[in-house]
Amino acid sequence: MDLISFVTIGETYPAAKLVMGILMLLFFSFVLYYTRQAKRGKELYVRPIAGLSAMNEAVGRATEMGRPVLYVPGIADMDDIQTIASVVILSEVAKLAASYDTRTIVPTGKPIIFPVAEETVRNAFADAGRPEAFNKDDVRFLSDDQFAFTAGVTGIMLREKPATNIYMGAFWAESLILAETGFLAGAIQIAGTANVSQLPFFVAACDYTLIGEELYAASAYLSREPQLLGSLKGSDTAKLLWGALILIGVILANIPALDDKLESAFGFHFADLFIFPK
Amino acid sequence: MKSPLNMGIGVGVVILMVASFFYKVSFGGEFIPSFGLWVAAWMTLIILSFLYKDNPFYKAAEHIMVGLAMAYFAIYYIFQVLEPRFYNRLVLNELQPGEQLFGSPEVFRWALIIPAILGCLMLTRIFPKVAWMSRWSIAATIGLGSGLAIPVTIQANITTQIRAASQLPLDYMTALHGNAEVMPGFTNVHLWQIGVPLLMIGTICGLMYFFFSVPHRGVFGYAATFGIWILMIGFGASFGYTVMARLSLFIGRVLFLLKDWLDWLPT
Repeated sequence: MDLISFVTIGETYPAAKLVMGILMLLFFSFVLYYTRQAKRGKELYVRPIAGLSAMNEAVGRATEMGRPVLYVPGIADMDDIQTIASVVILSEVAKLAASYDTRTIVPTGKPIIFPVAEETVRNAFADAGRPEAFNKDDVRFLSDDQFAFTAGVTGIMLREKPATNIYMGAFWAESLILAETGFLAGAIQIAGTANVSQLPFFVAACDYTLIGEELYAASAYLSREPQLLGSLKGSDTAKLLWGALILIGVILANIPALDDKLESAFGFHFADLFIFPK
Repeated sequence: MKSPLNMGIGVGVVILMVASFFYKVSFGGEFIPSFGLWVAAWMTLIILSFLYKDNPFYKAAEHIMVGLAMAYFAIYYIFQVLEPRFYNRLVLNELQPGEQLFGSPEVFRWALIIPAILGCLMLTRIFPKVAWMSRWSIAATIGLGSGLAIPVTIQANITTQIRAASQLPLDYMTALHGNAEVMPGFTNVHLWQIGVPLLMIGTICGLMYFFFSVPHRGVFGYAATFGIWILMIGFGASFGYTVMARLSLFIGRVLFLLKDWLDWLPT
């Protein structure tokens, strides 16, 4: 058994798996601790996020104009964390729209998301005290194909003229097509994605953009539920840990090896802890 | 299509499409390849007509695309998913080597009934009285999806990031020791001297921007602002890079029109 491996139940695991396991345990512990704190009534601060503060204004604008809100939950399937976060935000947006008596159109691009979105919007309307206002036809399955879905959504933008377009979830090459069409149609647009390659397009073409992890923070920010606030605070603490690990790595990288050979430097051993074998 | 002018333009475009196609076919083109080529060319022009404004042709092309994609995926799911992954394995017993559960291929085979039942439960949505049963399938999908996604996300976005950031000064030292191939084409030591600390500070400040439970004021606020500036610079570079890629797609389409369709350019 060498330095970077350990043995358990007859199998040898690389150190990276152990390190990842420890990091996951720490992360879950932080989340559980802060969730408990939040449930006990401790006030947890969440800094203002511009895109989310504007959500009320955006839905209100649609109400004033008598037009619907368009909510696009991305094109990834339910196994993508961004889609899961998006569905939680959809619930809050639909609740807000229902309380204003405004339609929420939700086009979906994956068969599994369709019933999930339908249930979410239906429950949101019920929670807002307006179950009868829910229109089943406003949650639609368009297509599994990326650009067919995009064509369908742009069609909705041009023909049903939503006053507010909200894009939350995983987007790829269709991001600019959607955001540009929405811009041309004169809608106020709020986007959020953790797909770094698509963020520049949303930043350029939308009024507000949730960058990366702001998408995950959105559900806690909007709902203010103790469980979600606790997980947000927990993930913040975890980020402190990640930052500290990076700093430790950088410091170790600058300490020369005892035998003066570059490949024996402490930093290399530290970096090895995070390498997964292929 | 309400005004006579729109009607006239529409009829004119259709006549032009049909006439140009039959002109091409009658001068030596084969029917089927020519038909495919002309449909592709006209569809390209119709989609590009959206740059002017929404029009009935664009609407037609959009609906054709959505309809075709639906039909394609319906067939795809039957012949690429249901048949090989379910029917062939469960009914015809055509298991691949290594396909086993708890060490037994038979257990694996019969376990396929579980996803099949979950799939059938999704169909209960058609009947409102039992539609609630579809929630089990949804719950299983979301639960499995989250369970699988969390370790993958931690590995891809956290441990890899920590490793890459920690490795950076080492790459710098490797470059100083003369082995500059760690980053091909980036051999300027002075650039390394600026770039490595900037990346380190940028990474830490970028992380600070994503702290939600601390007010962005004072030193923390300045660091977070620096972090978002670094992110925006990165987004700008990414934007330019992707626009270049999109332009190459557009050039490809123009070449298709000029070369394959109109035959104006030498092949």
